[in-house]
This record gives sequence, C-alpha cells and structure tokens, in this order.
Amino acid sequence: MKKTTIDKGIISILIIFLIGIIPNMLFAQVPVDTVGALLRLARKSQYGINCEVNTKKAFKIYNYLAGKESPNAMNELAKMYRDGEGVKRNYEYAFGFFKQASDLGNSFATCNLALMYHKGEGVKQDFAKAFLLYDKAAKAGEPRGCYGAGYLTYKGLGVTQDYTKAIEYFNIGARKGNPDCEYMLACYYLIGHDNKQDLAKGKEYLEKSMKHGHGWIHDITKFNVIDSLKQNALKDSNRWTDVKNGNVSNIKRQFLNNATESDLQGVWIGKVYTYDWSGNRIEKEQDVKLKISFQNQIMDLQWFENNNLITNYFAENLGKQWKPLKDKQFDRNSPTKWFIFRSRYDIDKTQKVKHYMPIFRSSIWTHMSPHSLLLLFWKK
Amino acid sequence: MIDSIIYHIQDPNIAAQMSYDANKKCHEGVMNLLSDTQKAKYIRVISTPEINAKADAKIQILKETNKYSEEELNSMKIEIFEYLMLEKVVYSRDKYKVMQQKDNIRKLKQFEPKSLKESNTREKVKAQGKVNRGNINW
Repeated sequence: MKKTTIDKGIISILIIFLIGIIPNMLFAQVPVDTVGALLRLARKSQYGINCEVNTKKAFKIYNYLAGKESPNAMNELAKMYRDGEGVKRNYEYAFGFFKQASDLGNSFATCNLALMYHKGEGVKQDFAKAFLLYDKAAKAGEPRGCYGAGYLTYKGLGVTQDYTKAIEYFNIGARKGNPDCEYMLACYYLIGHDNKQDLAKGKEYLEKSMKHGHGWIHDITKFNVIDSLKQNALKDSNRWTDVKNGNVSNIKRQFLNNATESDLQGVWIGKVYTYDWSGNRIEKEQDVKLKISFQNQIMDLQWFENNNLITNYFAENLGKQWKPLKDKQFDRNSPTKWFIFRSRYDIDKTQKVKHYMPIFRSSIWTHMSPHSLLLLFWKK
Repeated sequence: MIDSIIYHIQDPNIAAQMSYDANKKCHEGVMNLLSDTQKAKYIRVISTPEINAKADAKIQILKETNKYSEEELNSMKIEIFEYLMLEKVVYSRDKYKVMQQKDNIRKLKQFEPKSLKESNTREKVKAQGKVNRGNINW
C-alpha cells in the first residue's frame, strides 16, 4: 500500500517536472551562437563542404531553426522547397517561408520572393509586385534588389520604362560591387541608350563586372560585340531621324485587323525594326521575306531571312481576327499571339508602296525581341 | 601493386578494365574506412602540391594584368587555393561516382571566389587572342 503511494508520488512529481520543462524545450529561444553554428552545419551538409552532401540533414536543421523564427533558416528552407532539394518541390511552402523571412527583415528572402513573382514560379507572374519587392530590398541595402528593380525599370516591366531611374538603381548596386549591376551599366553605355554612347565607360564597367565575377565577358570579346555596336552607332543618326519624323511611329497607330485571304496571299518583303526598351529608338533593322499561302482556309506563313526559311506560322481566319493555330499538327514555334493588319497607306508618298502589313507581337515571339515592329511591303 | 595483377594479361582492353576495377575497389575501401574529416585531411595532404601549382597558375593570369598588389594577390591565392581544395576533395572522394561528383561540384560552384572567376574569364579571353600585355582588346 505504502509502495503504491510512493510510486504515485514519484510519477506525479515527474509529470509536474515534465509539464514544466517541455514548453521551455519547445518554445525556448535558441542562443544566437547556436543558431549560427547550426546554420553553418546545415550549410556544410547542403553543399558538401569537406563532407558528404546530405540535403535531408540540412533540411531538418533549417526546418528546426525556422520553427525558432530564424529568418536565414527560413530563407534557406524556402530555397530547398523551391529547388526540390532534400524535400519534394513545393512552391507554396517556398513562397510562404520566403514571405515569412521577408517580413522578419531578411532582404535576401525579399529578393527571392520578388524573383518568384518575376519568373512566375509558383505564383502568377506579376512584374509590378516583383518591382515593389525588389525596391524594398534595394532600400534595405541589398544589391540584388537594386539589380532587380533596375532591370524591371530598364525594360519597363511592371513599372514605367525609365533609363534614368534604372541607372540610379544600377549605380547603387555597382557601388556595392554587384557584377550584374555593373554589367547592365556597361550595356547601357555601350549601346548608348538615350543617345549617350560612351564606349570607354562601357569597357570600364565590363572590366569591373569581370573583376566581380560576371561570367559573360568572354562572349563579348568572342563575338566582337563592341565592334558591331560601334557600327550600329554610325547608322543610328538615320534611324533616329526616321523615328523623329514619324515615318515609323505613326504607322503603329494605323493598325487595322481587316485583312482578307486575297489581300494577304503572295510574297511580302520588308524590314523588322527592333526598338529599344523605351520604344523610342530603333536599335536594329533586318530584311525579311514572307510567303503566304492558303490551304483549306488555313494560312501558312513562311518566314525567310537572307533567303533561308526560318520557320512557318499557321493561322485561321475567324472573321474579325487571325487566330494562331497551336494544334500538334501546326505546332512549330507558333507565336503565342499575333495580329495581321492591312491598310492602304502611302509610306513614302511616292505611290510605289501602297500596302503594308505590320505584325505586332505581344510578349513572346521566338524571332523578334520584345519591342519589335515588323513592316512588310507588298512586292508588286 | 595494383598494376602487377595485369602483368600477364595480353588484351589491353581487359587489362585496362581490370586495373580500373582494382583501383575502384581499393579507393572505395579506403574511403569507407575514413570519416568525413579524415577524408578531407587525407586528400588535403596528398593534393596540396597539385592544388598549389593550380592556384599559382590562376594567380599568374591575374598578375599579368598589373592591377593587383602583391598583398592582394597573396590573399587571392589563399581563397583560390581553399576553393580548389574543396573541389579536389569532391573529385577525389567521388572519383568513381561520376554523377554524384558532377552534382556536388555544381553545388560547390556557388562558393567559387570572384578572383577565380576573373582568372578563368581572363584565361578564356587570352585563348581567343584578345589579350595584349594583360589588357583586353575589346
């Protein structure tokens, strides 16, 4: 009888002790030194630094530390979920952990979250949200944020295109030694956006970006990029005059989507003008030829460059518009969205050219850069 | 010692295969015996001269640019040496697990020092014949 009472006493003391200690064990803050040591250990296992790679072990450590609200661990854990390393890929979890870490002030996580919006990984692509997050990271002093915000501003994605603002972002990043920012600055000065070509400055930034680990420099020397840019700059004045005189830009407003089969059939020759990101300046012009034929009301458009057939596009007439065909039968690099227009418009007022057919791309086209405008003249 | 097993083999292909298998077995035996730390130490000791020479070659390319002081070059050499040694550990440890080796090297590339990246780029540009007295002919 006595023994049972003693046993019960011991058990109740143990229960009270455990009730007291378990919450402490679960919710106690891990000392900063321990967090650092655990993060280092996880990092070693994740990347195999002087040990076997063990992503599962790394995942477990990050997961434990994320439970203790360590933003660095949350960021790494989210990266593992995003890349499917040590755990099954799960964009929702990745997004959640990036967001949590970002809210706790981790600017790396903010950049990674922005990247998800930028690339449309696991979430709907949203350049505006990506820009806001990059901007937030940039303001927190993260050079990757400067690059992201600068890049989107440079190309006018999710924010109004503005070279001056983009260059401000890149300059901040470059001062912190970010090779991508330096590379973009080099591009800006070499191409001469805003008519400010400065080869010396461009080369200087290329050197800097190489010094900070940018890996594309040998491609620039291999393909003589700077020489071709010099040659382009010589032609620029004429092109710029064309745009200023409105010979090209006015035509953009004349689009009509009323082309008929008989209008389109035949061979068309003309040029592709590639605009820069601001849409104000033509960077490149290229001669192209299109051969359009019809079979059972399906249009077959053959695209030639230098008399070489580059690709075929197929479309059907829906009355008011031409719809690109994406059936397996026709699926050969079909553009996602395109329009064909026809109008009687005298381009050079000489009456020699009466018809033009501009094709304007939306967002993805394999053969044209994002700001391209195609002007094709019917060959009589 | 391993080569002595193929002494009497006439067909070179069979001899090569036997030699490879024996080397693999020996290597795996050694690696299974050692712990991670011991493996790293062992590989570091036997590979130091080789990695030193590699690091020197990388530094020489940077030296030709005349843009770095001796102090900077010394610190760069240390970081390049340490990184190349990390790679060497993977190459030696996973010598016979090719896919794993490639995957692990890819992971390590994230820690590649900037100086090594610069040296590699300059090496490629030099191979294109675009370097004159350490300067790039853009």
